[in-house]
Amino acid sequence: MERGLRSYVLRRLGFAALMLVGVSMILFAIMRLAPGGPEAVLIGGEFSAEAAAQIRQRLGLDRPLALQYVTWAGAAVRGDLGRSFKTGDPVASLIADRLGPTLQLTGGALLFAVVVAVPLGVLAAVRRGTAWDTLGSAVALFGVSFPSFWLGIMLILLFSDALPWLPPSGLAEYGREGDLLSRARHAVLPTLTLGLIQMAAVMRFTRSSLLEVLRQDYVRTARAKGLADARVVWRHALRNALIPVVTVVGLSLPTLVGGAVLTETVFAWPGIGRLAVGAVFERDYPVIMGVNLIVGAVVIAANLLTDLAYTVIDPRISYQ
Amino acid sequence: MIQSIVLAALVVALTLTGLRPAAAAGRDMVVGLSGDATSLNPIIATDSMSYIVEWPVFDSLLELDQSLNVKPLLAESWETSRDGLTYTFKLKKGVTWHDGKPFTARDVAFTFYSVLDPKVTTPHRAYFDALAGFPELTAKENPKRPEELAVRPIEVVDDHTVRFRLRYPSGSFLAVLVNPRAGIVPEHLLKGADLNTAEFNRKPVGTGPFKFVEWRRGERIVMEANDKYHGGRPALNRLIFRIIPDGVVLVQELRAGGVDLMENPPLTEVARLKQTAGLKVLVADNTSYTYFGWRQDLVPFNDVRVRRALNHAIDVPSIIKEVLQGYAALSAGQFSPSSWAYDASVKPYAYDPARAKALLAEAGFKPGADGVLVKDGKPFSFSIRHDVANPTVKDTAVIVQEYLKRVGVDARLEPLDWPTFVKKLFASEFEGIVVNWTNHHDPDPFAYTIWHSSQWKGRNFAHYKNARVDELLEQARRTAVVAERKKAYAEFSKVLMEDAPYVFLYFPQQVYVTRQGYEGFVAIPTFAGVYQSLKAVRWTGK
Repeated sequence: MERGLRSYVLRRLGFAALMLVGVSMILFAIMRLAPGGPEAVLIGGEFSAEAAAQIRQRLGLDRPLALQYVTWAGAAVRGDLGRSFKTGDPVASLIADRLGPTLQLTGGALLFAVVVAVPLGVLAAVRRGTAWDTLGSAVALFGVSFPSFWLGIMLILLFSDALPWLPPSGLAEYGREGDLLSRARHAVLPTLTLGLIQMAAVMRFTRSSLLEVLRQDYVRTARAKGLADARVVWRHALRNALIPVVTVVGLSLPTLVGGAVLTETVFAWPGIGRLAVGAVFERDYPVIMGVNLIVGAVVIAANLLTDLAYTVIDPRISYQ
Repeated sequence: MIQSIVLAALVVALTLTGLRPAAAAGRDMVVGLSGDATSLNPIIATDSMSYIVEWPVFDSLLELDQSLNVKPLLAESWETSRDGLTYTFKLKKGVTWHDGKPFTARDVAFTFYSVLDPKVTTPHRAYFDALAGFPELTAKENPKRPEELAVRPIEVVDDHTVRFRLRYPSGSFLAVLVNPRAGIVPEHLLKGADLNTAEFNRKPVGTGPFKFVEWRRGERIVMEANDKYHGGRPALNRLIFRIIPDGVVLVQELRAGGVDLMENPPLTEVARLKQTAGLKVLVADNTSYTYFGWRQDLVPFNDVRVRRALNHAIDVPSIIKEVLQGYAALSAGQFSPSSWAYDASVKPYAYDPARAKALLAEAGFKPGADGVLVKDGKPFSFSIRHDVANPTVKDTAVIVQEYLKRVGVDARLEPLDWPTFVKKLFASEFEGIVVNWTNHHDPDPFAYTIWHSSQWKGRNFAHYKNARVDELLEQARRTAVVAERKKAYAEFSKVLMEDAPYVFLYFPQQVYVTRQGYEGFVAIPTFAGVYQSLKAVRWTGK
């Protein structure tokens, strides 16, 4: 790594650490300002003021807010994210258990989106104004128009009920978690749900970016040299057109995680999104903090990697 | 990541094969739940999902029959002293814990002393108010240990005999010794442990018909048949509780074969499910009820004419028909029609909007310019808070609002999430509320805490106060003679209905859907009562 790039990365990492501290402080404050508390969920219908007070004391919620934050942050720096208020499990192990399914879902959705959307975008740009272009735009519009929870349920009704081809929910049948085919069949609908939404943006950006590049002089020169159309588009134009697409893909990571929250809930997918939703409804503060810290770190890392990816795609870009 | 790519590639490449997902094996049962458990320790657990899941793992001393009477489970028999202050239980012999250790009377004493221990966080403690030494053992400041008391409330007579001593005769004492609130836990695994946080709460060991196998948080809880179960090995091999939060998806799983039993499907789906080949619907009464209430001490709710008018203003049968598709019993007070304390002579107020308007006029309300009634320059306008996540309650609140509007009362709906809602309830920060509240199969624990005036800081958050009601609740609490309790509760129900402190709406029924071929369910009319019978459920394949 060249020196300029190294100091750039270090600077960014420094900012990232500060950002995480800021995010954790804001989140901690917001959570405690929100009405309600974990005791109502922990006790359920047999709630009593006495039991509630006892729980608050046991969980340390009766201490001053600043002290609670400092205790949490001190432990977090040492790698201890605390224990879930609800089940008493270590937060780190809850997140570790859920990370695999979420990565599988978001990774699969991203891969699906890119693999399908880039060629569709190219086709729409090259065949601008034709039926292909209209079809591509229609697919994109379809993807951005439907919320994931609705799309997910519609896909379940279509592919698990009307056409009983795929299982409606879960990661795999019990006892068949190691069976790749079973896992793949369970993954089809959630991956499609999340991927379709993502695909729309990638497709639209590929199309518009490629159209712009195709108008440039060097493309005309390449064509004038007698290069085949496919070679001009795929080798010369697309590479430059991909820079904004990479930005969109990088910036879409938070959206993917956000989308995964709903998709995971609909498909009973045991990932981080569902963990987060459950924790918010149950006011499981340590889990909310832990999940957000990890997701925040992933998003910051993704943004950094996106910036670094520019240098690979376009050697003219360099960081000082 | 490599695995993700491989899987993603498989997903993309996979042609839709047309295969149905593998149906759950006949001798297992997959139970679909809408949420995860909190704890699998019956002393600590108090939420509905935990109750359902810990039930098959633990046995209690007694269990309920279909008429809500108690019958022996871990206890073989019991004797009550003449003064009603001593209960001596003979325990079953040869019962073992899932780890092979013998179950003895010491486990029983350990369990209930743990419930009484103020260091242990459990709302179940209040159920044992009648035990000798209860105030001393549960005191906030310097609680006593059992050995410091002159009279031991729970005495281990021998390995298979345990004796409970009460400070007053209690009609509810036997009724509170049943699952899921009173499962017995093993002393040898928990002595000296902090019960609030013990690893046991996540990996339980009981004496029940099913042994705990695994709990994958948010995904599933698995248990297998206990071959050495004292009541005979259950017919099902395994119970797999799958957690599927979305009701529509849960129904699809049932139809697709991924789930064999689910509770409370969206009620609009029940008719379709009844028509679905291979599925059957079971319906059970419940003790919990939904009501429209208000702060009794606020103007104008402190006027009995206004309260009665609100009762006349709402057509409850139409709510049962429209919102619950008929799956509810009309409520006439605190007790469900399946409770022995229910008095059929007490009738709810008839829907009579003209009478409601007349009563409101009598109370001094006159129509205002915008159609809302006005008294002393103030419009009859208030907020109704409710739990946003309960669709039945939400729809009920909307219809209540509409009926109130028809008689000139302006109600604003304020949906809140459950933690916020409960906190506001117990702080008495509300005007009106629509709530579905848990109840107990015995009348005392909830009737007393909801309606007795000593409980304003507890469940009597609506601040109801009636000296005669206090008296009747005390009478019913401090006798073990059923006829006396029945008489006291009958009068209590009459006074309550005359007082009209709520619009008692309905007792929602519990609707279960299961696969044809599973037989042996017994629908006990209390919360989640059907789960008690899982030990007797078998697969017939028909």
